[in-house]
Amino acid sequence: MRLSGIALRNIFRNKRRSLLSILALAVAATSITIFFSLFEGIKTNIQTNSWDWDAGEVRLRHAEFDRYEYLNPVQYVVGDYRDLVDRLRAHPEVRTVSPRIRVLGAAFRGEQQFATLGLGLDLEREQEYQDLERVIAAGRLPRSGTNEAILGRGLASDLDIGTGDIVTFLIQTRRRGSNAFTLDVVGLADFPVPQLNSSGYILPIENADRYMRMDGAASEILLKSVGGDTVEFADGVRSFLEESGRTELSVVPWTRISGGYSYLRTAGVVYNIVALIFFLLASTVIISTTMMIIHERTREIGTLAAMGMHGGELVRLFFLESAYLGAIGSFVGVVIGVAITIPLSRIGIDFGSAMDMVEMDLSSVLYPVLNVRSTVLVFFFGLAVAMVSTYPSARRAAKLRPVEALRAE
Amino acid sequence: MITIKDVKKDYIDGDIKVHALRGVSMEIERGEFLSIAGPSGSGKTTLLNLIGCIDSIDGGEISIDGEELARRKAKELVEIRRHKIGFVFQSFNLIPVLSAYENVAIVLEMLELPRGEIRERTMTLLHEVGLEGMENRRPSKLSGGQQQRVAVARALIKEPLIVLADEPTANLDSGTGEALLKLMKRINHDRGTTFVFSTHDPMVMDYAGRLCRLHDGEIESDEKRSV
Ligand SMILES: Nc1ncnc2c1ncn2[C@@H]1O[C@H](COP(=O)(O)OP(=O)(O)OP(=O)(O)O)[C@@H](O)[C@H]1O
Ligand SMILES: [Mg+2]
Repeated sequence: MRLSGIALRNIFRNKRRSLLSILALAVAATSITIFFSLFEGIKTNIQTNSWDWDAGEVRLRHAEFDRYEYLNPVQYVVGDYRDLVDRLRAHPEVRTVSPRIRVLGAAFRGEQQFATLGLGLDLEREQEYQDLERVIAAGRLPRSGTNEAILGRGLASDLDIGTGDIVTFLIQTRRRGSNAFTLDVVGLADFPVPQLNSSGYILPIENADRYMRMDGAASEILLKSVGGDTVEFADGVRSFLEESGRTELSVVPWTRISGGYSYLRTAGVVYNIVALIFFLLASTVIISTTMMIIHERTREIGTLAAMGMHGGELVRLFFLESAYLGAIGSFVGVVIGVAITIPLSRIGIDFGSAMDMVEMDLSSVLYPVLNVRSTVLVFFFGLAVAMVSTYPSARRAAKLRPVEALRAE
Repeated sequence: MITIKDVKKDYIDGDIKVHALRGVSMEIERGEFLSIAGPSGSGKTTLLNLIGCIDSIDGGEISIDGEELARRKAKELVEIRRHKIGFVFQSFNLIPVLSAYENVAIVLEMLELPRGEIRERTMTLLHEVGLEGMENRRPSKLSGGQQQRVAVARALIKEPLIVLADEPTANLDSGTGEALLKLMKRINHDRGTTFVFSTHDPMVMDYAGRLCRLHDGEIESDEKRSV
């Protein structure tokens, strides 16, 4: 009968109390597991949305446009983008490329005016950059070189039109002239980004070029890398552009553009603190439980000490007991957390209109993502919490003088 | 073997200083069956605790096998207890989650003896104290007398220099108490184990080979007896 055996049996001495400790840890571990996978889901979601619809992993623009962005200086463009796109595509670190023309303007319904943002996309090649089909809510994608468009659902309902209707946009050209054009609505889109949903539409880049008088220029080129560090990737692209003599362009990683990214950094800290609070709550339960246990077993501790057990061995005895409880509680908690997360990560959680208020590339339906590393971490953290919570009481038990401990009732 | 020289022990109880032992001297020889008798509060438990290295001495000295206790660190006292001293308590104090067998075997496990030896010695001793067939019972499934037999076996298993028993029969009825005493006496006789036990039961004193009477923290009488 080694210490571990005694510790294991001690768990069953007061089943209800052991259960309470296990439960406290399990609840904490479950909550944190779900909580972390939700955060992981938010992270993935913000990154995907930002890469697909906003900043790319890395964004190329005319440097002057970046500097005066608040003025919408449409005259600063990425000239001769086709050639550049071809050469970027050949770059070993570049996975996919998406040239875009941003068409700022307005659409009307009676007297009412709505701000609109058209995205001119190379529809044949955009499919390599992202799966466009997934945003189609009704109808189909526009075809290259046609005056077809797919409208964000919100915009369509603002304008009270649907598939099969036509819509007219009033826009500002590259030379700051005005232009108007009419498109056939061939489909409706559920953009994952709320803002795009309420004002955005997609049209073929060739037509956007014509309406905006771009003369073969694009507003921006978004890139995704083959993997690895985004900032290093941006550096690589920058030196590639320097070698190619395209020094007028700026290369900015998404981490510096996306508001979501800086949110994630703050939120990451907040989430860790919340997780800590959950564990602290569990720890108070364990602390009070072990205090009770040691109080009840005082005479037993005295007996073991009289028999020649060292203080360190007594501490170990109580440590082992809570290690078992901690392992069980933490394991059960993580398993339940995972069991809840897995179906949620398929179905998704619809936060509905709550997300419309958020000025971020965050979808209203979020899919929790199970992060194996952080889940394993939650388990070991729970175990550690159980053991650390025991330490003060165990230590006190070991320091009891045997005579006094033996006198206890 | 054990030398007790002018040992004093005081307790502070609130503002009052209680002189539990006021200068006790005696020699305990190997193989003795010594009973410490005396009225309640006379210092019996205190004396046993000091010999058993679980309490600190305030004056005088005790040496076990020539080793002076007063100068030992707490860790060394633990080692002395682990190797040389066996305790039997008034209220048995068995570990409730362990079986009779395990309650005894744990002592040898603490001494890190080989598994086979632990098993053999424990089983033999449990049979010797009359617990054959009860090895796997938990204390709650044993009578008081049986529990105290386990406790005696637990104290004896390491073949200690001395077994200290503070009123071992106080929680047993007289018949059971007498049987336990006979058992202890037999072991004392067969194995030569030194026993020191306290009591205020005259029946128990009758078994003692030496009777030492304490009164108010002092030795009143100390006589060898023939039983
Ligand atoms: N922890 C303590 N604090 C204060 N006084 C104590 C303490 N332990 C013992 N005493 C006192 O010391 C004296 C001797 O006590 P001790 O327990 O040794 O007596 P005893 O002979 O064993 O008595 P009993 O037969 O009742 O067990 C008593 O007056 C007792 O009140
Ligand atoms: Mg006493």
